[in-house]
Amino acid sequence: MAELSKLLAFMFKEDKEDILAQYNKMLDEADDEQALLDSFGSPTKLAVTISRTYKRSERKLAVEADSKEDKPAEPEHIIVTPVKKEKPAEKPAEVNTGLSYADIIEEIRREKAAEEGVEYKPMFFNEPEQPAPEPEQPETETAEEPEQTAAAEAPEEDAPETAETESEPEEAEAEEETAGEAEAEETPAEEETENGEENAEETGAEEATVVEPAEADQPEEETKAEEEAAEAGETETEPAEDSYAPELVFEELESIEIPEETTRYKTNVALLILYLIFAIPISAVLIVLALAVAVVLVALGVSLITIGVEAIGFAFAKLVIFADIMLCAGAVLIAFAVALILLWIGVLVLVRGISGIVRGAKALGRSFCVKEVPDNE
Amino acid sequence: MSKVWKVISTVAIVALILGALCILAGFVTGGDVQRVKDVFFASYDIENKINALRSAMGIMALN
Repeated sequence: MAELSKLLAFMFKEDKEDILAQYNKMLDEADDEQALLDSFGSPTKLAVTISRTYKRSERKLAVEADSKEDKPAEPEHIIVTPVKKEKPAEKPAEVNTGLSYADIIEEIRREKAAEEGVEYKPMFFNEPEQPAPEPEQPETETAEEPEQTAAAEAPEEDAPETAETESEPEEAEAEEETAGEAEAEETPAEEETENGEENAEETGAEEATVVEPAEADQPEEETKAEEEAAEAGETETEPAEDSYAPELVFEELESIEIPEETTRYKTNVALLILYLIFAIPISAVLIVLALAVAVVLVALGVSLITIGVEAIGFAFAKLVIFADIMLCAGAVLIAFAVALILLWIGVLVLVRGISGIVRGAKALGRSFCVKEVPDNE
Repeated sequence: MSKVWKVISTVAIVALILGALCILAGFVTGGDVQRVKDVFFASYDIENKINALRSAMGIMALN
């Protein structure tokens, strides 16, 4: 049971606990517990069988709908599903030998739903490819097949209406015989269901040992194919279960929303107007000053260059002594160097000075008039 | 901008050094600033222009 519980990790907790409780109940009530365990097969195989018919998505939808309607927990969806068994010839003639575990669970749940008077909803898929029971083994026939058909056609049928298999063992045998005869006559499944229901209603019994159609009902090829599929399902289910827990963890982590700390800027309009009243004239004066300085610097540079050109012309035109010419040339070169620096400074003042004054005025106004406040305040 | 500033500063420094070397060479080779000034004043008649300016400034001051 512990291993089965681990293997059923993909199910909802309440479903899993319910199923485990019902299996425990079956084991407690069984005369030969070991034989019942043998009939179950390995826990992995049992889990695969349950997983193939478990409607987790619909169950999730049902749970969400229940929570929205704020209703008490409803019984889970159960659809009768036959489970493969070992060859019936090799099996002892036990009552539970050919049982479908999902069928038993379904019966118990249906019973419980009928007692509680709540609507019964199936938990498992009803596998559509249910083989029709053959008349070769009528003694193992039960009302299982009609029940399956009924579940397939109306999975949400009320429990009292579908509790056709609740009968005493002797009566169940009578039902089996009736169903077997009906199947032997190749009647439709609906008719069998009606027969089973009528018999059950007549008996009015509360409990019944449900005997599933024997494995011999299905062809041996199908049995082998199902066994292979179940074995393959074992290998597929285990990694799926392993990956389920991390998936849940990731879903939880994704569901956690980290609040983003956003900030917004709040402008003090009155202070901004006051700032603009002072800042615009001051900035204009500073810009004019910067322009004037730049113009003066550029004019000085241009003048120096002009004087230098005139001086070098005078030196080579009027002066006759080489030493005097060298003195004039040296002075003109120095004048050119200074003029070049003055021109460059003038350009810098013109470009960077004015743009710097504008940016500085804006930054100062922002620091004075705009406050950065958290968004949630 | 900094690259332009480096180029300009380099050219200016080179020009300063060359000018200083030229002035040094002129002084070494017997150059005289007073002589250059006399030639300049004589060539452009600077003395008469200065006298005319001074007389003009005096008339303006008397008025």
